[in-house]
Amino acid sequence: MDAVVDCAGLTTREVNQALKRLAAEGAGEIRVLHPAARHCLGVAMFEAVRIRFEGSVGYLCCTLGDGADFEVLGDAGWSIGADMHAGSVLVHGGAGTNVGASMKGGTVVVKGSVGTRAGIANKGGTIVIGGDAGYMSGFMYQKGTMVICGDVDAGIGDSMYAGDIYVGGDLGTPGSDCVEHELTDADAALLAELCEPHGLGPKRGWTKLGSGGRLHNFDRREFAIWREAM
Amino acid sequence: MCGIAGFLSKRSDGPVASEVLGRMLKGLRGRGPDSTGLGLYDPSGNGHYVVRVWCGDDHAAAEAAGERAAAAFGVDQHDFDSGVLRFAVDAAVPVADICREVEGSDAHVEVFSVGRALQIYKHVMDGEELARAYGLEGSPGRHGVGHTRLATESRIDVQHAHPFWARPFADICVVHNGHITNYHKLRRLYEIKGHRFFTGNDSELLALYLAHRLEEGATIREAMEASVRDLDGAFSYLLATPDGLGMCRDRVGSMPGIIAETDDWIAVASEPIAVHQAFGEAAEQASFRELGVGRAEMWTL
Repeated sequence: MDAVVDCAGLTTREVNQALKRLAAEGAGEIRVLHPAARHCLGVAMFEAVRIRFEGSVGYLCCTLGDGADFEVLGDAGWSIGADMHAGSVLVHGGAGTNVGASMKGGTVVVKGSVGTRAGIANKGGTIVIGGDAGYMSGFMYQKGTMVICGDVDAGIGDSMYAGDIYVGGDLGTPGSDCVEHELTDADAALLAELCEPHGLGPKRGWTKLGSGGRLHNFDRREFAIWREAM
Repeated sequence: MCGIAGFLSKRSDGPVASEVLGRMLKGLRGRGPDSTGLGLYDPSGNGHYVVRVWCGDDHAAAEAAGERAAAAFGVDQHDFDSGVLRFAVDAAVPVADICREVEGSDAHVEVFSVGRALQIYKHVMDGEELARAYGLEGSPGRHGVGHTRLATESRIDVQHAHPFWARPFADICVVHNGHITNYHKLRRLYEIKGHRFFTGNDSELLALYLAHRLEEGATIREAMEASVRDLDGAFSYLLATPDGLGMCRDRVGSMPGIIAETDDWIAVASEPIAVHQAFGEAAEQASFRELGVGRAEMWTL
C-alpha cells in the first residue's frame, strides 16, 4: 500500500479530507491506522481507490460511496456501507444495526454477525453476512440481493417489495408478506459466487425469501391482510 | 441521544470502574454534552449506608438536613461538597425513614443515593470536571455505570442528570439512553399510588418502575424482563446492583446497546467508540455484539 493516514491526533474531518486528497492525487491504495471505532470515516468516496481500515470503525463509515473499495480489519458500528451507489465494503469482524441501509448498488460483505435491520430499504445493493442477522432485517426491501449465512431474528423481509433474501440458518418468524420462493440452480450458482470467495456458507441449508406481493396494492377485500401487516 | 456506559471487572485486580467509566464517557461525549453522572460501587465500606443528598447551593438547607439526620439517627458527622450533603447511617434504619427525614428539611432537597456501596455522582459538567469536583480519581470498585446526557424533553439541571436511584432500594441505580413514550400514563398511575416524582425526566420513571417491581417481589432479572414488555418507546438502559450490571433494550432495537467482552472484563455502551476510548488497542481484542431487541442481560462479579 502506497499511502497511509493515521487517525491518531486527527479530527474525523481531517481524516476524510486526507483520504479525498490522496485519492485525488491518484493513490491506488490507502492504509488507515488507528480508526478506534470512530464514526463517519471514509464517507462519500467517489474515487476508484482501495481503503483499508486497520482496526474497527464506528457508526456510518464507508457510507455514500460511489466506486471506492473498503476493507475493515475489525468490527463496524451502525450503518456500515449505507447509501452506497457503487463499490464494496468487506468487514472481517461483525457489524451493528442497519448494515447496507438504502444501498443503491455495490456490495457489502460482513464476515461476522450483525445487528438489527440489516439491508433495510435496499434499493439494489448486494449484502452478504457470514453470521446471524437481527430483528427486522430486510425491512421495506425493494431490490437487490441479501445473503445471511446464519440465523435471523424475527421479522425478516417485513413488507418487502421485491428483491431476494437468502437465509442459511433458522428463519425465525418471517415478517409480513415475506414468503419462501423455490431455490433454482441459478440461485445456487449465485450463492456460491457470493459466499465461497470469503469462505462462507450456509449454517444449515439455503432458503430463498421474497415478497408475497400482497401489500403492493390496497384492496378493501384484503383488509385483513393489511390489518395483520400493520 | 444520551450515552450510557457500564463496566464490570471479572478480576479483583483489574482496572477500577471509576477510571474506565471516565474514559468511556469521554468517548460518548458527542452523544450528550448537558450533564454527566456516575454510579460507583465502593466495596470497602463498613456496612453503613452512605447517603448522598442534593442541596445545591443552599447551605442552610444542607445544615438543616444534617441536623435532622443527627437528631433522628444519631449521625454524628456529615460533609457538604459541591452541592451534596453526605453522611453515613446505620443500615438497620429503614431507607424510607432516612429519605423522609432528610427531605423534610426543604422542598428542593433530594436524596440522590443510599447504599452500602453505591454512591451517585452527577452534575451539569463534563466527566473530567465531575471527577475533580467530587475527588473521584482512583475511586475503588470493580463495577459501575455512567451517563452523558442530551436533554430532549426535560430541563437541564443536576436533579435531571442520571443515574437515577431505584429508591427505596439501597444500592440500585439506572442510566438510560432514549425515551419512554408511556411515561405520562405510568407516572399518573404511580402518583395515584402515592409515589413522588422529583423531576420531569422520563428516566426517573425507569428507576421507580424497577423499584415498584422489586417491591412486588420480583427478582432484578424479572423486573428487567418485565420492563421491556411494559415500557414503550425507544430505549436502552443499564442497571447496577452491589454485585451486578444489567442491560435492557427496547422491543424494536431503536436505541443502541453494545456489549464488549474479554476474559477480564465486560463493558457495555451506546457505541463501541466508548470501549476503544477506554482501552485503546486492547479493545480490538474484545468481542463485540449488540444486545438483541427486547432482551435483558445481567452479569455479576
